[in-house]
Amino acid sequence: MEEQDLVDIEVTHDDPDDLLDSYSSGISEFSFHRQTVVANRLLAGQPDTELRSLTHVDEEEVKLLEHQVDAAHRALFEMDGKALLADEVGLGKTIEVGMILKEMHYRETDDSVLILTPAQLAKQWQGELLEKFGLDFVCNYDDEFQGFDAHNRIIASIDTAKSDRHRATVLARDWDVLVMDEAHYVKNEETDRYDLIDKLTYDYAFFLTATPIQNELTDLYNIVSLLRPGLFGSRDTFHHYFVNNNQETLVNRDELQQRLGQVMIRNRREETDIDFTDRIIDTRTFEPSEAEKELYEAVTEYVRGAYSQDSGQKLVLMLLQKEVVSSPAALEETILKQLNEENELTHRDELETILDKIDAIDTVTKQERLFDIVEEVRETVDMGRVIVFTQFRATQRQVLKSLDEQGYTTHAFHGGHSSQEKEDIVDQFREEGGVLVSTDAMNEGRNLQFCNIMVNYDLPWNPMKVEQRIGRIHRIGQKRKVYVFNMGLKDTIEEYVLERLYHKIDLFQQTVGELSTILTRLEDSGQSFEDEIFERLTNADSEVDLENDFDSMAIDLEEQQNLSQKVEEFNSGVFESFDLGANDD
Amino acid sequence: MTDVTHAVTQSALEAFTREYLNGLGAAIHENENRWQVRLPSHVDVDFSDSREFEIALDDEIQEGEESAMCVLTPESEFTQQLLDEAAAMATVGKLALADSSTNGDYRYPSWIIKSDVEVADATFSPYYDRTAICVFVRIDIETVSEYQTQFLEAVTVDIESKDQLPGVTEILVDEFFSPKSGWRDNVADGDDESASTIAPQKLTDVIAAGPKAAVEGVQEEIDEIRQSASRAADSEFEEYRQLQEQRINDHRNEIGSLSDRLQKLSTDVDGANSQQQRVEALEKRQELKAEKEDLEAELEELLQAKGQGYAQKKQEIYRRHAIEVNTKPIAFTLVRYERGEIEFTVSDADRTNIVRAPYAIGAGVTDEVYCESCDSQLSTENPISSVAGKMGCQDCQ
Repeated sequence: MEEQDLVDIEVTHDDPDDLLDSYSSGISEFSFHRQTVVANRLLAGQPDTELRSLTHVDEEEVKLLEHQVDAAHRALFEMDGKALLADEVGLGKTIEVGMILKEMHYRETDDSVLILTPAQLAKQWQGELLEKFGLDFVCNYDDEFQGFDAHNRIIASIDTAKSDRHRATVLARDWDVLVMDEAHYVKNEETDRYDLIDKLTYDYAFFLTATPIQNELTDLYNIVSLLRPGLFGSRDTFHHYFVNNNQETLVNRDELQQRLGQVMIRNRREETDIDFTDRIIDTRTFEPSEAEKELYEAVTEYVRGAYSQDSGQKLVLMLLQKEVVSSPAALEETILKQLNEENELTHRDELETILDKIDAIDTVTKQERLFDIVEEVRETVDMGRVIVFTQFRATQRQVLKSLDEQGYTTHAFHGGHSSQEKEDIVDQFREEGGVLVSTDAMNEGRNLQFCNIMVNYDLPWNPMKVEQRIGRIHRIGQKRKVYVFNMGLKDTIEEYVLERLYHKIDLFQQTVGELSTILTRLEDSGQSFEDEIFERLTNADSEVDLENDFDSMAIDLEEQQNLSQKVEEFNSGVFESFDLGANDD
Repeated sequence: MTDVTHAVTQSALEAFTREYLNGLGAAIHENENRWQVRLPSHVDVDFSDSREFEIALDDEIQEGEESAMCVLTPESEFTQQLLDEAAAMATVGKLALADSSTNGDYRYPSWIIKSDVEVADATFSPYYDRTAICVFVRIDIETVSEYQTQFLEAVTVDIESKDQLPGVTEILVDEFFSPKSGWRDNVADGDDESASTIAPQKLTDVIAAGPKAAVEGVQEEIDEIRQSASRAADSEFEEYRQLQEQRINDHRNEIGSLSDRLQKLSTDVDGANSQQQRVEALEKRQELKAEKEDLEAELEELLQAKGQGYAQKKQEIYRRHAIEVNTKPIAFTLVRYERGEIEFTVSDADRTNIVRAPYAIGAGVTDEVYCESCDSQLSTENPISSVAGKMGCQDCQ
């Protein structure tokens, strides 16, 4: 507005007569004077809400970050206790919910609380809420758990809650508070999980997910509609109003933001004041022994031949190709299983030849080289803690056996353990140190910040899995530099994946958010990353072909990386301005 | 000038009330959300009739308790009374800022901060005391379209030089408001004589400088309110303008219709069958004519006003939406602070040097300092510099 279009300002200054009188009648004691100033300050301020339980949080147990306090405040007071907490991975959504629950407990608005999580995270939630916030919950895996009508504070796996056995009791109650972790589990409105949440009755709800939009905006619609039915109107209205047909651009973006802002909080890593420590990548490729080379070539040749004859066997062939670079033990197990299966095998001879070649291996190169790494760690790091990841149980067993033989303290972690056992294993690893050999069952949410060194003994062909492995130790609370060792055999598929693909996209330095957009694009274009790798491997006629193929895939990837910036623009279009709260007092 | 306005939260209120009542010598028995308070017999307060009373920290008052219970929540009446009373209790205070108050935490001048040398040590030697006044100014901003906005601003001004001392304000505000200020209990009250002998006129002048500076400090907020008030005025005026347009149209239509009716009446007059009919038609014509003339006069006025862009109305509306900013100094603290010289021991890789500058506690370096090699004035743009152990400034190195 132009100056002439503005209203006038009239400034008047009251005389300081009262003050002069006070001065002449004597100067007050400082403590009273101070209270007068503070009272004036309060008189000039606006009433505001606050997290009253904050002072009761033990700072020894949990260091609260500004964005977390802010999110809890907004979820409770600005969103009336129904919020989608959609921070990017690693920013502490569990802490935010812990604070919300603590505050509700303080205000006595939490007579009955149900927390639904993926099965493997239930115990972790239980432990964190107790240790960090002093909130005692019973978990459906506890011996004392008597059913959903027997306790007032329950943490349960969502699949247990929806099971025929419990569903009726879960639905029969009016819950005060519902918390749902990994809320994208219920993105599909046609699933039993969605149905359960849809039918639950509750006063307050807090849903957590780092990825509200998994595939399409409908995901967001479904999740938000559970929290705030009607916020987006009907499904059709939502689609017509906010999404154009090919889903590439948004329409009525401002309004979408405005409505989402009523229910969703999303903090982005780059906008928080969190300092992540450095990540140091040490990729080591080793010359395989002659016997290992022969085995690798035999398997690769077999896989190519078998796949060209029968592409229906793809999964098992892909498995063999991954196992041959992981360990002979892993390969052997699968081949024996195949040979023992009763159905007709067309390649029995070839498989038996492979078995012979496995037998011919005396020394497993990777295993030997792993000792080098473990020894380096033992010499330089307190209690020599290192986590070795492998995709295969057989490899895990072999690695554990060899480490045990060398006298190292070892711990095994795999999907076959119960939740309680998993807790115990992590505790033992923390207390005793040594080497934790884990399969990828060491999943989201389990905190291992007390360890800062990990080894990728073999490499998943899915980059997200690699990032998830790293994310177990490289997260808030990690105070030291994180070291990631990658092990690969030269001239094998592993080297191609490592050198030509993962390093090309700088995978080991990517955060989940950045990576997922690249991969989502890649997968949307038809094939999965794993499929791409496998197809290129089996279709190449020569070494040169193979190299060229991988180079072109790398170029594709780099293109996707560029394109992913566009996707990011799309996402920030959706989520822009849902970052740290509007309140900054 | 420092903004010290603060959100009124429950915990801030509780902390204040606890301290205030304790200061009055009250005994408080805290039992979760209820406090039993007993005031000593010599204390007389306005916020409670009785010496013993109960404070509730929430609104959940049981039936029958209402009259006996003082509700301490951000918007309660009791809170308002308590704050009003405390706000008027001790409006003038004093304290002394000594070297020891700052724990050796000195304010480095920009010509050191921006330089490539490191300060290895700093020593302050006090020479004499000066007095400043930290004025707390309440600013009310009012306009018809917005809720009243209040700020509390703090401004410290040296009594002699009238210089503003933002560094001192910062230290004081910390002292006044941080919940666990380390030196509050031991705060030096300063020398009574120097503090109580300020001439009234001098004091009035210095206090008067506070509100002006305070308004400058909230200028941005005032500008924002001004923008939105102007938008409100503009839309009110636009509404008025449209209404007038509508009236002009209505008048024109009405005049047109009256003209038609007059025309018709003229025909009636000419073709009247009887004298009575004729008289009636003439009377009616007279009546309508007068009505039409009135409307025409009104239309003329409306068009005239329109021609002038409804300037008068616009002025009226804008005046009604004008922003009133009122300042009131509500308390002040006399601050005795030390002035003297600071000695910075600065070093580069080769050797150390000493740089001296006039300094005041809280205020920092108080005067211009010149390069000892070339006599140029040191500044952010021309910081000190050391080359091979030789001290100078950026200009001369």
